[in-house]
Amino acid sequence: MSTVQRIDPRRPASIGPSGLRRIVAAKRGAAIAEEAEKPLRTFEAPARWHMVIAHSDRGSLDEHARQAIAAAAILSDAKTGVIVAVLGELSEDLAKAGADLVAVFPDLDGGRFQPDRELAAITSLLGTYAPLHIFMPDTAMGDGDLGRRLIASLGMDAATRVVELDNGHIATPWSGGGVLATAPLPRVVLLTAGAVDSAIPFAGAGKVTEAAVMPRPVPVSDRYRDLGCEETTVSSIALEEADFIVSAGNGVRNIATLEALAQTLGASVGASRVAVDDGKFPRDKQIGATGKTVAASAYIAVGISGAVQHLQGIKDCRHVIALNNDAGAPIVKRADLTIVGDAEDVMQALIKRIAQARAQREFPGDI
Amino acid sequence: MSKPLSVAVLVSVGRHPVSGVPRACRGDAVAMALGRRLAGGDLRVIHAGNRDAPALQDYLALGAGRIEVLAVADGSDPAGVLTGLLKDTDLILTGSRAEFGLGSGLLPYRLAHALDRAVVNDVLDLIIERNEARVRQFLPKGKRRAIATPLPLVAAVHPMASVLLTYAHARRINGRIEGIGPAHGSITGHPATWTVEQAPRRAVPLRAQNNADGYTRMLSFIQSPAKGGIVAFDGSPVDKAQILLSYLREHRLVEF
Ligand SMILES: Cc1cc2nc3c(=O)[nH]c(=O)nc-3n(C[C@H](O)[C@H](O)[C@H](O)COP(=O)(O)OP(=O)(O)OC[C@H]3O[C@@H](n4cnc5c(N)ncnc54)[C@H](O)[C@@H]3O)c2cc1C
Ligand SMILES: Nc1ncnc2c1ncn2[C@@H]1O[C@H](COP(=O)(O)O)[C@@H](O)[C@H]1O
Repeated sequence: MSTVQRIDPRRPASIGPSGLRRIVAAKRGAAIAEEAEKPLRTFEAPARWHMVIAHSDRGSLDEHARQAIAAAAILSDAKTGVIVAVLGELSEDLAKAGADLVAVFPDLDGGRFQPDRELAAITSLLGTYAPLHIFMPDTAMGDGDLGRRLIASLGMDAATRVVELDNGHIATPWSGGGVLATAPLPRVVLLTAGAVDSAIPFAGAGKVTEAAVMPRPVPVSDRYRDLGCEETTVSSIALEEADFIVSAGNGVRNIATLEALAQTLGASVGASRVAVDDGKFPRDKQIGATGKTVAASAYIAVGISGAVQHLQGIKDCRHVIALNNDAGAPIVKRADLTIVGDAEDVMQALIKRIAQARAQREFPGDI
Repeated sequence: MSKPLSVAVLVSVGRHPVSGVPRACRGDAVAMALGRRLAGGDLRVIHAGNRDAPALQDYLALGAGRIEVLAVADGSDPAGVLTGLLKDTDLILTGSRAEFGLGSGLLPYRLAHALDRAVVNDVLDLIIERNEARVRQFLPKGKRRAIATPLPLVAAVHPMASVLLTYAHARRINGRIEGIGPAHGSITGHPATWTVEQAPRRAVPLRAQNNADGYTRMLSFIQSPAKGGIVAFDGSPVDKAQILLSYLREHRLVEF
């Protein structure tokens, strides 16, 4: 018998992105678990709490809020639980984000200006859980405002615009110019986006508190009366601020159809560089590395291949929908939904379908 | 209205973002211009700090007329000393955040809390109607909100408020800077003690410690997490349009 060590040709392997077969070196035999369930961060019952407070948008928390949850979870020890107070409706599971307990206040969504009621609800929750630290995303609106109100009303030591933190210290920018100032970790921390990596290798218990144990809404009369938002016309707002964008690439032949679609959806129009270079759109519509960086909630890329330079410009978009006749285009990897087909046909069908939906006043619930 | 509206604006020392030279804080200058529009010549312009600060001259040139400077020791909390001075002011305007130091944007909130009055941030415009302020507030994504709230009020003005800033050297020369006695009074809740670092550096983001074995960690670097995007191949354009619409509805991106 030969002493040459034989290699099992069928030993576990995975096919890499470039189609190359890669032999799995470690953990032989362990199936290449796709999206393995993350292990729980701790199995102990929480003896104390870290609290995260954030507004939801359309039923989910954004990346910035997830970073605050991740910060709370990373800085917790085995006996500390992470409670997340969500202002507004919530329709997603926050266990993967790192939450152990979730308290939802569905009627306190950020769409209305009601800081006194929000403050009262949070203050009573603080009374129940007495968190060691409170983490919040320092957003331009909503959470940043509520956080500052909370800091002022509690008179706790606090820091805003925090760009760096760990259990020992925090740092925030000082006077501009890239210099940082540090201080010990205070009780209330308002985090700048990007201060924390939201990818965590563990999960929280993710329990949702029952309505019964939630603090009763204290009848507070808000000193502020929200008189509603002004209607802004889509054309008047800058592409960077737009919430819904329909974007055209080289695969769009009929610009009129695309513009009609954008109008039916109430969306702004953007374009890839090729479409701009062709003279179909002015330069200020270009999205990408050499154009604008947009942060829309919904971005429909019609006939755009998804070159890196273009993807750079849409990295902050929440939902990317691609309309392309090539299922192998790079945009497919980025898109949350890809419709494979001819752009013109699908756009026409969509315009008709929306007109019909609007005319019949279909309720969004019964799809 | 029986007694005239009293309006004050709080101005801080700014800092040029590139050269670092002290100047008028832009956001505060905008607040001052808004105050001027509301109160005309009766606007009080107040600074807590050193009356010799060269940046104050800029505010004169921008039309402050007269600046009252409340002497406070360097590093002490301006919110505390300002409280006593502003008790009877109907409307206090501030900028959104200072350019110098921390720029935490906390001052208007702490002042409002200490004086027990309402505070609205990101104010683009403001009018007074029958002892009530009507505020136009900046929201992201091109939206603007209207809010009504009774006076007295602290309003933190958004730097994008539409005012005209004009600089005139003559005003700089003719303006006055007046010191007003050392102030007392403080708000509970002392700010944390800060250590300012010497050299500029990048902030280090907080990352969870990953105890996974090397292979798993390598995978996490070479594989972008499968985002699980749905790909719709089949069906007529009408079916596909329906899929798209359903997706938009499911994520509440449209309201029809
Ligand atoms: C330095 C540099 C900077 C750049 N900066 C930018 C930038 O800021 N922004 C930017 O966008 N680009 C930028 N680019 C260009 C970028 O690399 C790509 O060339 C460009 O984004 C491609 O545009 P496109 O996707 O519209 O066109 P294409 O790559 O031609 O893609 C067209 C797509 O449409 C699909 N298609 C064709 N016909 C149909 C049909 N009938 N129905 C449906 N789909 C169809 C095709 O399958 C294809 O996927 C830059 C490049 C460089 C070198
Ligand atoms: N020393 C000061 N004197 C007067 N006003 C100040 C002072 N510091 C801050 N302010 C005001 O408070 C706002 C917010 O400041 P800050 O909370 O320090 O970011 C500023 O835009 C100014 O309007």
